[in-house]
Amino acid sequence: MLWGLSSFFIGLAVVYLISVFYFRNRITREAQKIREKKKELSPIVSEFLFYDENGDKIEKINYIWLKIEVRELIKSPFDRKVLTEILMDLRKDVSGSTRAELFHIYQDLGLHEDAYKKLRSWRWEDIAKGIFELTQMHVEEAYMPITRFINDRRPTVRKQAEIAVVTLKREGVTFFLDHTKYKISEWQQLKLLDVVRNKEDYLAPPFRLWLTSKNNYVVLFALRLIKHYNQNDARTSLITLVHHKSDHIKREAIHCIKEFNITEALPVLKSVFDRNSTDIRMHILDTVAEIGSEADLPFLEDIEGQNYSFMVKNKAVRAINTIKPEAILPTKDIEKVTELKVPENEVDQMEADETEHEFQSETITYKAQNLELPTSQPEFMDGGTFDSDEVSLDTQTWEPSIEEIEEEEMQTLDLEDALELTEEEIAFLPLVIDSDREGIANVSEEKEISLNDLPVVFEELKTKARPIAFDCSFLPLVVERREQTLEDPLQIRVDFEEVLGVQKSEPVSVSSLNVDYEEVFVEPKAEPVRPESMDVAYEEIRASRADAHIDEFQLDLLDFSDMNSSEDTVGKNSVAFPDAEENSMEWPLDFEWESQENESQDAEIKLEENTSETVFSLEDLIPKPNFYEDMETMALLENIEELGDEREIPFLKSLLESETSPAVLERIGTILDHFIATYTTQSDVENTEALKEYSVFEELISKGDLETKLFLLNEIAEVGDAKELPLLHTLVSDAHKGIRETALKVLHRLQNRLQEMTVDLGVQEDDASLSIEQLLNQDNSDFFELNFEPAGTTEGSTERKYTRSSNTGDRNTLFDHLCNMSTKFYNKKNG
Amino acid sequence: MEVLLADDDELLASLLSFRLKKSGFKVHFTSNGKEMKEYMETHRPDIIVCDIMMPYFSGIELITYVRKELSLDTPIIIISSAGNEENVLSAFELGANDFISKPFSPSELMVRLTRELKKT
Repeated sequence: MLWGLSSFFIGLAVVYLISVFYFRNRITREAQKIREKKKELSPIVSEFLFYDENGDKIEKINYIWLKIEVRELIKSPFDRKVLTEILMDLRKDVSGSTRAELFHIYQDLGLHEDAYKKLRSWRWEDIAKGIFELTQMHVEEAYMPITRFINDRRPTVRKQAEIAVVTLKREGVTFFLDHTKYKISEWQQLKLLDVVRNKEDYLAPPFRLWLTSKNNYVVLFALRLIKHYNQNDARTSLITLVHHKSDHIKREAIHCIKEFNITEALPVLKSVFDRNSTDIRMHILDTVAEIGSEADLPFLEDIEGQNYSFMVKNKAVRAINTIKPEAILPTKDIEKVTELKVPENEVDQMEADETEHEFQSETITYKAQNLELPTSQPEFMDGGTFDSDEVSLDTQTWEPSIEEIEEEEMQTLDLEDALELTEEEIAFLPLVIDSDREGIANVSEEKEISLNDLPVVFEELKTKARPIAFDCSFLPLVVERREQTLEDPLQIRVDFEEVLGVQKSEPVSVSSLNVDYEEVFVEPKAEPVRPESMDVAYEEIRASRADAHIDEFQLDLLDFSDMNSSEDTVGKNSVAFPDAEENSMEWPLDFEWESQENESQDAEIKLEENTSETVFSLEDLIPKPNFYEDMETMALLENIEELGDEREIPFLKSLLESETSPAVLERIGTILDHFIATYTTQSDVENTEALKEYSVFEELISKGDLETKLFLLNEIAEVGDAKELPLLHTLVSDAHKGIRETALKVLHRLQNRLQEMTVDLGVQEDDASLSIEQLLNQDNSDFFELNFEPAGTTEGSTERKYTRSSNTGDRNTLFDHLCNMSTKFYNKKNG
Repeated sequence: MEVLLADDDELLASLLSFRLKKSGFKVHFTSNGKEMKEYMETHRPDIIVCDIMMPYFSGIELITYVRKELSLDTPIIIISSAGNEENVLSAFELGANDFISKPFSPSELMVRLTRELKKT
């Protein structure tokens, strides 16, 4: 039997160990697998996140490939799970546009479908996870499906749904407060409040509307939201809620009353005081202290005197002191002054211990203040003076506590009889008398000054042979009342100035703005100026042979044909310049052209001035200027040389045929040689590529499965162009019947579409065939506003480039279609 | 420009590494403080981007190592979690040049990184 049991337990232990070992290994293996998969997928996610739509062709093709690759990957549930995990992890670390892109990718890859599936699960944990995922990834479309869980009987699901509803849409809070029937826990309220608080540009609804809710938790939450958003337009409702049965609501309503300083609630607060628990009483007292006035002091004093709990009484005292500072002073465990006896043998008492004097003066002041309290010391207040018989002056014993004074039934104290004190020395006494005569208000003013803050003037005291029994020589330390009054902050004269409330800035419609328009002078946009094109004021241009060296190139460009009419030239140029401004041409050619014009103009003026000074003829010194037309062409050629590339070759060749000027022809020849030498190899490669008529669909179709092929064929029909025709011709003879038929249909559709496009673009083609020179001659200002690229090596490519560049802002390009293509494919597949 | 990226969160590091490489930086990634120290013994990156919380050596310790032991002025940008202000202050006291708290925008990191590089 024993052996049997032993072997059973040993067997059980072995099974247990094996199962532990097995499961641990399994978990580790799975974690390792997930880690590896994450490593594999994270670069793809990065690629998606930082994909630039304006990137180059390679990047776009790479992006499409990645999309297709990912679509293949996420067919596996495990991969989908890992990809979702990656996105959820990254969501915590990134913000801004990257986070927005993350959310977009999540939905674009259809990962939210898995979360939707979870919502349909019968397991509460799966539903909660699904809701959480959709909330975290901001799937707004999930709002409606999630709303049905707002009153789910399973708390976890319900709470997750509440947070989701409030997070996903702005009106979520309203929906939640309207519909929730269950309890909203404190923690849940905090979380909801946090969600609402972190919403950007959130315009809170008037939460007072939910103060009438039948769900007390909604009322409570609404009160908290009212307080958070400072919605102080529910005064009456708040006062009414003080009568609520729920202590939580009552407390929150009282908080709101305190926060919004609703003084009209004070009578209600006082009336309900007795009927409430200690906790609520404390809150009421706190509120009374905050918003109450001296009129409420009797209420508070009454509480202090009645048989309430220790905490309530304490709170009442604090409230009194809050309304009227230091109305009640510390009384418990205050040491008696008798313990501070002065040694009789100490001769020079005052010089020896100034600190003790201070303490004594403080003690006296304390006592004086205690005596002023009308509630606690009525008998003493009536008397108004000290009784020298009761107070033992020999021992300098002063009664620090009110209770002790009461017990001893203090009588009036004739200080004048007991001590021979000067008027200055007893200057503190009127404090007591004044308070008695003038009432509480004055006393409070004096009491607002703490003992430590009193300005004290120490006077040198002469030593006496023996101190009198009651040494009041410290009394002069007390500053006169008048000085104290001056120190009273309440009596400081304040000049109030009008304070203008700063209104909350609200978005102002531009159309409603009252604007005074001023004349705006448009200045030409500053372009980077090349040194050779700068307007240089040439000095020392003398007509002497030694100084007559002028740059040959410059003179080549100058037109001196109208040198004799310099004023006309200036006038002409001065008119031409504003025209250039109006046209807003930012083409470097334009600027340089003007600069050169200015240069020539300056040179003309200088030379004109010099003509009057020199005895030599300029015509002998400088080469004969070229004609204006040649100069223009030369300037254009210079720009082409500097900014142009191989695309200018056809234009240059045409110029070569049309030009007659030898200088221009020579220049064209030089530039042509240069371009041909530089770009021949490069352009050959590119031309080969262009002639190849690469179709992005070709590779995708060749590697895709049947479904992908059919989908891509349909895409070709929609977005393809002439480049796809050879591919379609190939596919028409494909082995698969489905592909064959589809390819044939697509081929017909594409051909029809291309024909239509050709007809539509007929006019555009005519325009596009215009040369640069023609366009320039037309003086078309729009010409430069286009992202113009001069003609390429083939006319066909020119057309394409021109059309593409003019549609830079349009997102419906072939690549955009391709980017969406795989998404559509996936959606189709999933119905 | 070479960037030394030290972060134990491989996903985030991979993301940042991609972004930095796309902007033309050469990136070396280390997943813990020990690796970073070893790398710093033999290499001198132009800028260091490191997380505060890392295995073996924290970001704070690494700043001390770079500034005190290696006596390098290499700009250091630290990545910290929100609410970790105390560590951030310590890091600044020890010589960190800038910090960025999670969650952050990679574009913002790029701006900060470029700014620090311009300063040097």
